[in-house]
Amino acid sequence: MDQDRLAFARWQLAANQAVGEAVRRYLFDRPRQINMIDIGQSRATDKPKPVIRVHVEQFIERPQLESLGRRSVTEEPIQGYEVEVIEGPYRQQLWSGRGSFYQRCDPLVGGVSVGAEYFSPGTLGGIVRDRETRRLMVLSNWHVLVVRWGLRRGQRIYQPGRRDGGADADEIGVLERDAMDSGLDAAVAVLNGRRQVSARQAGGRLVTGSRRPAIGMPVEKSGRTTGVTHGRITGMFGVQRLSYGWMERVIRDVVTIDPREGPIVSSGGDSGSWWIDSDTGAAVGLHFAGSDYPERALAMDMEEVLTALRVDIPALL
Amino acid sequence: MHQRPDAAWWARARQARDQLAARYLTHPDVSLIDIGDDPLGLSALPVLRIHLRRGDGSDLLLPTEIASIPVRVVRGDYRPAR
Repeated sequence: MDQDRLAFARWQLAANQAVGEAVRRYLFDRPRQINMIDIGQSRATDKPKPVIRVHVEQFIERPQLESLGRRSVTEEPIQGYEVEVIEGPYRQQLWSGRGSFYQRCDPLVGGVSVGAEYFSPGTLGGIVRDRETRRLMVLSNWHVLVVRWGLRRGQRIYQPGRRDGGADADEIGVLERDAMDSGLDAAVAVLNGRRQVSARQAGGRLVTGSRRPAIGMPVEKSGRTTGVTHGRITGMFGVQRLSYGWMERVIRDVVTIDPREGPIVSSGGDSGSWWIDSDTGAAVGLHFAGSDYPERALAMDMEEVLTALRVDIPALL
Repeated sequence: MHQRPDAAWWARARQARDQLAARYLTHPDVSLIDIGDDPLGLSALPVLRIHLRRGDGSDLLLPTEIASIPVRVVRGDYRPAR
């Protein structure tokens, strides 16, 4: 055992030295457009020994390299390691990066990307019906469908959201109303009927209606960024001060959800997801915020949201 | 594990939460006040919880209980999820 660890430590030291030498030789040689250097498995399946891997922005043909006065890195093994070139145009993975459920979908289901004209996408929670007009709508957060103070009815809504590739043809409806004045980060957009609708959530769950949350209830959600995650309700009746850019609002009827399976319950872009009672399929919360340390999701009591927006969850397939 | 409180207990707990919120929700360290699982695991019934963005709450002079419901401090700095 100790011998194995000693051998590994020696290998690690040698590998580090080889990578260090490759970095010294190549990383800052700008014409080569190198993004990263590491040691790892060769792409050639017949080479069990690790190789030094030079990740480049894009491959440069040998004649072009030679015209720049450079030889190919593959011609010069480093401290016994062969060198390979891999194309790797890496970028920062910002919070608005694409998530699990960002594709266009027809019929519309809950848990997929949605957004307003100029803003980052969130999650289309699910389909609701206006209690008075019986029109079908989508329910998500105020900060997904409305976003700007003072902006009101008629704003165009896209699925997927614009920054997830949503084009003009992906308009699914327009903003109808919101519940921010009632202390709920929630809004609905009336659908234009160009797509079918379903009560399903991305990932397969059928929403059976709504009910009140309860402490200890196992719940799950489908979200645009983290996909299907599972949690357990650990708190209710929360009152929260939350900052929306330069304006702070008090949000009521907050439900606290801690992870149940896996380390993640939610992330940026999951706003608007519906938390579903895992036992009954009933929607119990509208996701709107979270923290990473500790990992925790916040939702609003779904019954309060539906009442404030004067909508119901219809019986759909 | 949990005991399931009755409606009278919940009414009392919500009143107690309102008292806490009226007094502490404007404090810059406080992000959320709710009723939930005891983070210390001492109470079979839910407790009043003050979620703090920072600090340990020692300067808030929090009551240990309101209406016989324990008050606990929980860490939590929340952001809109997008």
